[in-house]
Amino acid sequence: MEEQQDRNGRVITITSGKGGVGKTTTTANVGAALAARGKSVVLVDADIGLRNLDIVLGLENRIVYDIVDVVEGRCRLRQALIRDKRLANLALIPAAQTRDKEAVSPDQMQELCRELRQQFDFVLIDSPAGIERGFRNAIAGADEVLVVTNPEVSAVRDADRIVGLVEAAELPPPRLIVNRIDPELVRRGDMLSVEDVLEILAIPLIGVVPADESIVTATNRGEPVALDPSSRAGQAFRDIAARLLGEDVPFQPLEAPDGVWRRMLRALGFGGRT
Amino acid sequence: MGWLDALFGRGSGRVSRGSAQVAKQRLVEVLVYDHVKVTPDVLEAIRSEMCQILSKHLDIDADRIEISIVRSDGGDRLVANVPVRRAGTGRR
Repeated sequence: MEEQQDRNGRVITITSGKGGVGKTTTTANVGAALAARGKSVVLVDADIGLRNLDIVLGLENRIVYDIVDVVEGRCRLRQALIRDKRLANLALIPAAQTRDKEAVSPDQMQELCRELRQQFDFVLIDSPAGIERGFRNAIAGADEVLVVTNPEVSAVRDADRIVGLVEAAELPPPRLIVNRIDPELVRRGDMLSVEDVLEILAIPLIGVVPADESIVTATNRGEPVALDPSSRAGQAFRDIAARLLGEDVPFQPLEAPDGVWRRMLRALGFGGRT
Repeated sequence: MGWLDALFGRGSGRVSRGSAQVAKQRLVEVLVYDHVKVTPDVLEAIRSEMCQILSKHLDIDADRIEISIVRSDGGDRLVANVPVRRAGTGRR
C-alpha cells in the first residue's frame, strides 16, 4: 500500500429517501465498475445496524472491525478496510451490525471521509434510507450526492424530499439514477418513464438501470453485476462509472431487447405479457 | 389491425390512458402539497370560507367548487373553479 500520498479523492454519497430502491446494489456496482477502470475505491456502509453492503459484495465472512470501531478508535483505519476478492483496488468499510445510527456523529463521518480521500480516488458512501441521523451522517463528508429512485410514486416523492435536503445542506444538486425501469411496462404506459421522473425531479440524470434478473442472480452469489460483460444492468452501472469519470456516454436505448422479432412474436400471441 | 399496431409498437400502451399517467398526476399533486405545505384540511377550510364570501354576492353551486394547487411553469398556483348559477335556472 502506498504510504501517505494524498490522492485527494472524491466523496460521493448514494442515497434515496425510500428504502429498497437499490442504493446498496448501486453503491457496490458503481464502485466495482470504477475499480475495474483502475481507480482506487473504498465503499463505506453507513447503514449502521443494518449491514448489507458486505453481503452484496460477498465479503461477509471477512469482517473483523467495522465503521464504529474506527470512529471510536478501537482499531486503525487500515485494519477495518476489507479488500475485495476480485478487485485489488476495491475496499469496504462495513457497517456495525449491533449498534445504531447514533453511534456515529456527522463530525466523525467528516473526519473519516477526510482520511479516506487521502488514500482513495473515490469514496462511495452507502446511505441508509430515511432523512434522519443516518442520512445526515452519510452526507456530512460528501462532495456530491447520487439519488437512486424507482419509477413509482412513493420512491419519486421521497427522492424529491431528499433533493431538497441535499440542496439545503449546500451541496451541489444531486444527480439521479432511475433504477429498475421495465421498458415493456413503460411502452405500455403502465410505468413512469425516465422522462416523467426527470420532469418532476428536475435534476441531472446520471444513470438508467433496467430491471434485470442478472442483478438478482449476481446478488445471490455476492458478485457485482457490473463485472458481468453480458448484463445490461451491468452495462448501465459501468456507464454511470464512466460518467462519474467525466466521459460523455450516451444512454442505452431502453427498447433494445424489444426488437421487431419479439414484438411480432408477442403480436401473434407468443411470449411476453399482453 | 391490432397485431400491426403491436408489431410497430404503437397503439395499446400509449393510446389508452395507462396507469403511468395516473401515477404522474398523483405524484405532481402530492409534491405540490409537500412543497407548499398545505394539507387537504387547510384546503377544505379555504374552500368553505371562500364559499361563504362568494355566496353573499353570487348564486354559486357550492357542491361543485373545485380548489386545487397546480404546478405550472411560473410556480405553484392555487386554482379555484367556482360554478355560478344563471338567474332563473335554479338547478338543484
